[in-house]
Formats: sequence, C-alpha cells, structure tokens
Amino acid sequence: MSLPLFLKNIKDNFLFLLIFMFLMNVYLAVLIYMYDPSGMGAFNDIVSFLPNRLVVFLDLATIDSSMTGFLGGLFYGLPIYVFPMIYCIVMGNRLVTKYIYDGSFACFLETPNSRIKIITTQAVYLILSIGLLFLSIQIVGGQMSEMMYPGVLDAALFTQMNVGAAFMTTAIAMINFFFGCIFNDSKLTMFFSTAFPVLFFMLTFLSGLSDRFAALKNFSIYSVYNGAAIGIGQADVSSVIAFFSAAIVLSLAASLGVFFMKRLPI
Amino acid sequence: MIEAQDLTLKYMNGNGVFDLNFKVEKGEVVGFIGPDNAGKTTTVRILMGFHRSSRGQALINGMNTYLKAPAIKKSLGYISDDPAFFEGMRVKSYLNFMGRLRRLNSANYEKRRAELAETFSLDLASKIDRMNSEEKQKVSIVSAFLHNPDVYILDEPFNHLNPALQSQLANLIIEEKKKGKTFFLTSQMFSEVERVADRIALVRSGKMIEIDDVISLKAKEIKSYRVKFAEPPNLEQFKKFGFGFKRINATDFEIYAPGNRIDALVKVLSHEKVLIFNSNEQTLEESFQKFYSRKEEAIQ
Repeated sequence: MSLPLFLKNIKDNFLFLLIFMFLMNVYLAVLIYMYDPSGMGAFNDIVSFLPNRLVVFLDLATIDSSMTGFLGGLFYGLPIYVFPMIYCIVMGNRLVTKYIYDGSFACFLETPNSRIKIITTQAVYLILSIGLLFLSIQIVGGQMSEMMYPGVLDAALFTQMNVGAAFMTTAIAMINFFFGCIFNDSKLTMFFSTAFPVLFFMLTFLSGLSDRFAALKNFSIYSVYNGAAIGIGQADVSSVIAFFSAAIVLSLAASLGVFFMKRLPI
Repeated sequence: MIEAQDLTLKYMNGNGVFDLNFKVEKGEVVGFIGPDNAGKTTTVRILMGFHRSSRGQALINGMNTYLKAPAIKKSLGYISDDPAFFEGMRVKSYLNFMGRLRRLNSANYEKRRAELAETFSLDLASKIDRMNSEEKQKVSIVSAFLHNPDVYILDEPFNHLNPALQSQLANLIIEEKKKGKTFFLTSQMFSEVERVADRIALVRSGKMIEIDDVISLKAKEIKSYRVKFAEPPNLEQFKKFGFGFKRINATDFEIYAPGNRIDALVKVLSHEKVLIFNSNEQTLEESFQKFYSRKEEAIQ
C-alpha cells in the first residue's frame, strides 16, 4: 500500500464521506428521536392505509415495536440501500477511472509503485471509508438511543444489523470498484456502477410484490441482507457476512487481475 | 541500457509498432522521430510499462519494462506527450507529492527543485489547472528531472515550448548526458533533436526505417531554401554541385541541398547576387522525402 496516495485519498475524498456520515447519522438520530414504543400501534395503523406495493417498496411490512425492529424497518430497509449506493457509485469512479480518464494515472506509474500497489491502496481506502461510515452509525445510533431511551436498544441486534449492512455496502462498493478498474471512460464506469445496484434493488423490490416474482430475489445480492429480519432476531447475520465477504474478496481479486493486465491509455 | 527486441504491439485499428529493434547505450541520447501515427507514443508506453507488447520485449537496465516496472521507475524520468496532473494542485504540492511517491527525502531534492524552477522560470505557487500548455510542459520537465534519474524517456519533450525554453531543455539534456545519463526522446521534428541526440531513429507506420548517427543522417536530410536573385542565376552551377531546384519565376527559386552541404551551397550562391535567402519550414517527410518515399513501398 502507498501511504502518500492513501493520504491524498483522505484529503480528496474525506469531505464527501463526511457528507454521507452526516446525512445518515442525522437521519438515524431523527428516527431514534421519533421512536415511541407506545405509539407503534398508531404507526402500524398508518402503514395499513398505504398501498401494499408502496409498503413493500419502503420496506415497512415487517416493522416491529422494538427499537431494533423499528430501526430495522425504517433505517436498515430502503435507506440502507439508497444512501450508501450513491457513495459507492461515485467512489468507484473517483478512485480509479477518473485518474485514467484524465490521464493523471501516469503520474502514479512514473514512480516506483506497481499497478497492484496503487489499486490495492485505492481499494483499502474505499473499504476503510465504508467501515468508518458504519462505525459512526454504530456510535451515533448506540449513544442516541441510550440518551433517549436508556436500556431499550438491543445492542447485539443493532450491531448485527449494522455490521451486515456494512458488509453489503462494501460488497456493492467493490463491485463498482471492479467496474472502475475495467473501464477507461468515467461515463461507462458510472453507467455500470449505477445500473448494477439499481438492478439488484429492483429485483429485490419486485420479488416482494407478489409470489409470481418471488424467484427474482435469487438474482439480487440485496436479498441476502434483510435488516428488518435481523432487527427482530429472525435472521442470522453470519451467513450475510460470509456471503458478502466472498463477494468482496472475489471483486477485489478480479479488480487487481483486470487492472494488472489492462492496456492503460495514458 | 534501453533495448527493444522484436518489439511488436498491434492495435485493433491496425496501428502499432512492428518488429522494432534498437539499443540505447548508457550515456547515449537517441531521438525517435516520425510523423503522426508512426508508433512513437506506443513505443514510449511500452517502455513505461503502460502497455504490454504482443511480441518481443523492451528492457531497461536488463529488466522487462512491463513486469519489472516499479524497479525500473526508481531511476527513470518521464515526460508524457500530453502531460496530465492531479486536479486542484499547485506546482509545489504536486512536486512534493511526486517526491513522496518516489520515496525521496524532501531535503535532498528541494535545492534541485529550486534550481530547475529557476532554469525554466516556473512559479511553484501556481495552480496547475490554470496553467497554459507551455507552463504545464515546464512542470512535467521539472518533475522528470527532479529526482536525478539515470534513464529518461521523454515523449515530445520540446512540445509547447518557446525557442528559448527549447534551448534550455536541450542544454539540460546535454548536461545530464555528460553525467552518463541515458535518453530516449521522441519528436516529429529532426531539427528539435539533432542538437542533443547522438543517434536518430526514423520511424513510420510503426516500423523503423533508419537508425544512424546524427552526422550521417544529416547528410540524408534535404534542406529547402527560398532564394530571390537580382537576375536569373546560372543554373548549371546548381546542377553541377548536385543541388535540386524548383523555378517559381525567372528570379525566384526553391533550392534543395543536403543538410551537410550548406557550405557548398553558400559558395555557389556567392557567385550570384542574392536579394533574399530564407530557410523553409519543413515537415519530417519533406526533410527526408527521398528517404521516406523510397521505403514507403517496402513498408506497405
């Protein structure tokens, strides 16, 4: 790993990460502030008035009255796919393709640093930045709920939801990183980095609409993670971690392999 | 020091380089000259390890340029034909960053950075994004020479530079050559590299058509001059000394002479009353017209 490049990544991209940390943590804090165990009945009544397809889309069908169940539905449901997805789409391009597209990747390679070292550094930054994002969520979520409702949050389940989401986001990021390593044109990287997560999301969404489409979930990696089910203790996070870990390792290996072999137009 | 062995890389569009063989010895400057699409930048990309050859190999200090790129770059200076830099950086921070990537101790190169910046009148506080192409080329030159490498790969290094800066760069190359440094530099213009190069390779359509020392090659260069005489000249004299000419009107002529026989031409002209004598701007193909056209068929 190249330390100067890693530090440059922090300088160039940390503000972008801070924006996501801020948005997600504020949203989480507001949700915790809004949580009212005695008012969950009224909340479920409101949900029952919504069209079924909208409830499925917003992932509100399995909301439980516990705090982890509440957060599982409202934070580790739709938002956990959408917010980090944007971060992953942008970073896949920013960390690799952008440098090739504008030609500045040559600056790295005119120094005694191998392609593998450069790409590994970029991948490590991406993984650590996502880790930091979810660490901040863990801290803010834990502290905020402790302040508002001491002893109410099931810390173990909350941690499981958060860790599972972190692995899922990292897997998506590494798939996008792979696209960043394949393409030399930012437009192509952005297109595929957007298309794949959105496709996965749509497949997951469609599979919940009716039994006819239920099989579609087998084609989406988002279906592996169900935050709401983990939040009420009905799903095991270890299989989620195992699956996404494999996806991360495979994507990283493919990224390194492709980038080592590719012809760089610089 | 730098070697190409049957170096071949063919792109999908048919361009590329084909069976290149050359050697640049330690302390030697070799110019690699050719028109557009001659394969100059492709050769540089292979030497830099950006591209892998499909056949043959390129070696620097005995190491394969693709497989051993990081080891080679420890002592290699590079100028791209189209320099690109990181967004939002000032010259000083860019050069410092490159120094860190090269694992240099800043104290070692600060003095050299200041000297090079002064030589090329480079403002270290300027933002690179806002610079024109000449300024960017200067940044690229300073970056390439900053870490005092042993081998230089310079792709069109004289591009974008005014004549004074071209001269500064030529002087710098000559100075470094005296220290035993090795240079491989490309250009589209013979005149740009003849001052610094020991040998020059002419390339066209990805193939090398000639490699020779500058003096020998200069004999094969045809220079063109526009001459206006006060009265119609004695053309027999030009024919006798083997100079070509094209009549524009009775007193205006274009005269062609080999690059190493300018003195003979001046002697012939001294017998005439010359009103105007101008050297024509020539492309590489025009300078080596006979050379290129003769070998063109063999290439295709």
